[in-house]
Amino acid sequence: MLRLGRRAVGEDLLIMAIVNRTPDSFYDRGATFAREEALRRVDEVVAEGADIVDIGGVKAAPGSEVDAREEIDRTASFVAEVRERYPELIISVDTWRGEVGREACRAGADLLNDAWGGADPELAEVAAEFGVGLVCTHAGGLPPRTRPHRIEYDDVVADVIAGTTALARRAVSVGVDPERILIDPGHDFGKNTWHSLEVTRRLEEMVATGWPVLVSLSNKDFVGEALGVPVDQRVVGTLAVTAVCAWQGARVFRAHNVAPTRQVLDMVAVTRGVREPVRTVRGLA
Amino acid sequence: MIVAACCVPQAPLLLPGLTGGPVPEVEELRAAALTAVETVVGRGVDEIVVVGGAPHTRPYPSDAPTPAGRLAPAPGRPPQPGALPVPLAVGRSLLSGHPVPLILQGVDEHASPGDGRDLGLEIGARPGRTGLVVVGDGGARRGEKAPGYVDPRALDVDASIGDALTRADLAALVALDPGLCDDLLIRGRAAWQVMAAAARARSWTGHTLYGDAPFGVAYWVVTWLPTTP
Repeated sequence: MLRLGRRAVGEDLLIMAIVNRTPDSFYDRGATFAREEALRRVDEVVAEGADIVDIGGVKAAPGSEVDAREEIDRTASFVAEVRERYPELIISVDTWRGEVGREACRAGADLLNDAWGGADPELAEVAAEFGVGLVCTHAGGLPPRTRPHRIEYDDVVADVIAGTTALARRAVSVGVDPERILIDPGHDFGKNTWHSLEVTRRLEEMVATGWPVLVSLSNKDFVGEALGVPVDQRVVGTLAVTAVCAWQGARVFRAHNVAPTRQVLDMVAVTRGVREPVRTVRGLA
Repeated sequence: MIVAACCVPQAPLLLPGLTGGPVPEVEELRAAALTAVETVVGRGVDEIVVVGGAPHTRPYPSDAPTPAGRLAPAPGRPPQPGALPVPLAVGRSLLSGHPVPLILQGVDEHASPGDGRDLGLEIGARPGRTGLVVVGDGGARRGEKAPGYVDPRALDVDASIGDALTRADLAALVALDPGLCDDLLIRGRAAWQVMAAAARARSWTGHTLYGDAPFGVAYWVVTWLPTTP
């Protein structure tokens, strides 16, 4: 049974809403860098049905250097503020650095989202120390904040499964609660669009490992390249692959656009028969 | 004896089908590359030697599977064992319309300039009329949107390589520094040093059909034909 914060998740499909404390992230371009804007964003996504907020202080793409001190300044006190405002909300922090994870946990984080594939092994140890969750992501062995260039795989899905489950096993071995570990194929991380599509198409192979799967699809380049659309026109494509992944058994969906994602996940759950339709009267009267 | 040579990029997106739908920038590049290999083949060659970066310096079977499934797995396009290194596959694909014997010669991307020269001299000494298709490209650190982000040296080094290829300046290619090229993610260095040695027996006139970096990597398509006295 997946557990996050104080919540036992069961069959529910969860939304992890993205809250960037960055001046330069690709989708929101700094819209929530300021504290007030970020708090407003948290209020908004909670109202829209987010289960988790994922607070990040460094954009994923290459760009101006953000050291650990600066990353902590951007995230830790904000985590504390959100914790106070929403005692039950699951708070995740998007970082690869152990020292940042430590300060985030002290401030009340429930989950460490390691999107760079265990680049800093200390992060898992921090998760163990504080009894919080950990996301184990496949980044194809790339160092943090680098782009994939001419990457080849014998079998990308096999590599994803081997990499993420090895990280998960290692996390357990250092003391992370196995019920608090998620695996993430890392769409676009160490992958070109074809690789991300293959991982999407075969996500059920990852689900079959038994580890709960988190997917981070939102407005990414593989959606943009698949449809030939710029970053401000990728919501529909994102929702389509959200449904594809949900159908195959992904459990947590990291997203910018919370309200439409909630509707897609509810519709998938109703279609699978794990959620009751809201009102079915047509032809039944 | 080398009778004509050309240089084309080693970008995976030149392999058929890898861009999904047609991408105008790629089609323009591909058209230039096809013209270049056609120019080489059109000089009445007995064989074409394709030289491109590889894990090891050795010939690769000309019927080896394509690496397309490793780069772009899709239904009906699975990864295949024993696939060619991408540069050799790109060269083969550009030559697919020409019924001429192919030798796919890999060169270790990290080969020293001396090893590159030895291989080049061997190729240059082949009997008969040999056409040379060299697959290699330039830096990938040309700017914030480039695959390897920014290195302030990249534009100058790329410009000097483009100039050396255009002028068929063999000495300038031989002098390329392996460490600097590695830093800038310049993958063509070893292949160009093979080219320079293979072409050493005559003087050449270079002609650039394409020189641009639409995706943040420096690409050139250049032909070398013997200079007429």
